[in-house]
Amino acid sequence: MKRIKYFLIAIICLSNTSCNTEKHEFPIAKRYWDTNDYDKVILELRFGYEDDERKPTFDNPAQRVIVQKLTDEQNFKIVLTDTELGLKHRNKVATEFFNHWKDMHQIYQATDRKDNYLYDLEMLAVWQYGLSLQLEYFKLGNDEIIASADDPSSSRVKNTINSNIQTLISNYIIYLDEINNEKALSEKGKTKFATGIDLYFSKLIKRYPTANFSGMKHKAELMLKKSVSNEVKSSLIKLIELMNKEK
Amino acid sequence: MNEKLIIILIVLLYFSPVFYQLYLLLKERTAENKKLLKRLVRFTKYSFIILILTSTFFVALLHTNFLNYEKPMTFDKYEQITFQNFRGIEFFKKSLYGNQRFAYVVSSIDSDIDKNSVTVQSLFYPSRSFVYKKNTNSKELLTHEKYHIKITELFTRKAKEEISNLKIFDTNKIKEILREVEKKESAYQKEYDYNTFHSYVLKEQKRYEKEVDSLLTLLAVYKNPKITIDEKN
Repeated sequence: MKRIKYFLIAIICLSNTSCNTEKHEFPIAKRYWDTNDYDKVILELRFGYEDDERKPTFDNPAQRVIVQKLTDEQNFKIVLTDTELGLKHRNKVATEFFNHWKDMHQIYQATDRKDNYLYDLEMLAVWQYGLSLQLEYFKLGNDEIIASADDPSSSRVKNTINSNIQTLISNYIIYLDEINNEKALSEKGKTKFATGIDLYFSKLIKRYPTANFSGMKHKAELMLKKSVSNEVKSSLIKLIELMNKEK
Repeated sequence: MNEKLIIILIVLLYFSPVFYQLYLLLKERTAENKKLLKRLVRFTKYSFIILILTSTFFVALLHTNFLNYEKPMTFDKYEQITFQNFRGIEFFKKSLYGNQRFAYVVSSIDSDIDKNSVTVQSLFYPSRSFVYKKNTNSKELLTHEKYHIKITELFTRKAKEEISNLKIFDTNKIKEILREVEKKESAYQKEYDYNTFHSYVLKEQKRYEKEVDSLLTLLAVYKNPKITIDEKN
């Protein structure tokens, strides 16, 4: 009887080992994440974690790769900038990525009792991923409008394109809103935030130099008065100078 | 359900009569024990034989689908290859990076060294190549897989180029060339899959298609599988 007991225990242990799977699964080995991967990953990151469970962060060596993959711009660039693919297809994929990004935004928004962000670096990485994505998304949208228009130089088409660019600029302005919440960011967070202004806002202005940036300039000037971070202030000054130069 | 668990359960279920016999044997230590033990050994022996035979059958089937066999195809039949030729069976791999719509192709460099000639040709193995659905209309997937065959042909021609440059017929040297070319071919196939990410990156896929096609054209003179080395020249 004793042997049978041991045998049964061994079987149970073996079965348990086989059943024991990772609590959170992410397609880390996959070189590029597509929208289906984002679907699953966002779902897992938003709803698969307990309230007091720490989500993947850049400072966690074991889980850093998850947030790095999540915010890897190559995931969308590899499709959206592939000119071998059709414009409509790329636009469709861009829309899917954009919709996923809106959901991604909710992943790292948690704050502590002092209203400080728990994951400011990750939250900003997601923000910057979105800024980069929107540059491609709006460009593809406008390219498709031009391609499908009977008269691409008509005032109607031009107005639609300009309106889209203004929407893109407005979306970028929302990023600057974070300065109102500057206290919630750590020092590293403020540096990352400032880097975002330097990198993505300059790309936007260079891509659409003739667009109307008055709203953004006004916002930047207001935020310059409000910010207490030298790094953020320096980035805002550079931004205002760039807008003045492109005028 | 976990695949490992399923396998363990199947094995346990399969051997349940053996375990039952064992249980009886351990429970009742009587004069009958010897008889029971003999029966148990015999039972276990036959069970293992059947299990090994069954496993061998499935492993062989997994390697080459001999139930729907088609002999290896040479490169001259390249244009005729469609997904209908992908006859392999896959039991375990259900997806490739989460994508259930996947395929793989098996091709190789086949060689035969004769007295003063060598036959080197690329072969595509239909019964070892797999597609998730035979009637899929995914042209891109088929093109990607077929370029694996073209890459094998490209390296076959490279091998023939090197062999034909030999001044004397040296079997060891020929074997060495073939070994080296096979290594390079395998590395190139991996690089092709990595850079195109199994055809997901269309720009890269097109780049490889151009590169492979132009190199094949460049080596068109080595299309013929047989090379004769004339030592007098």
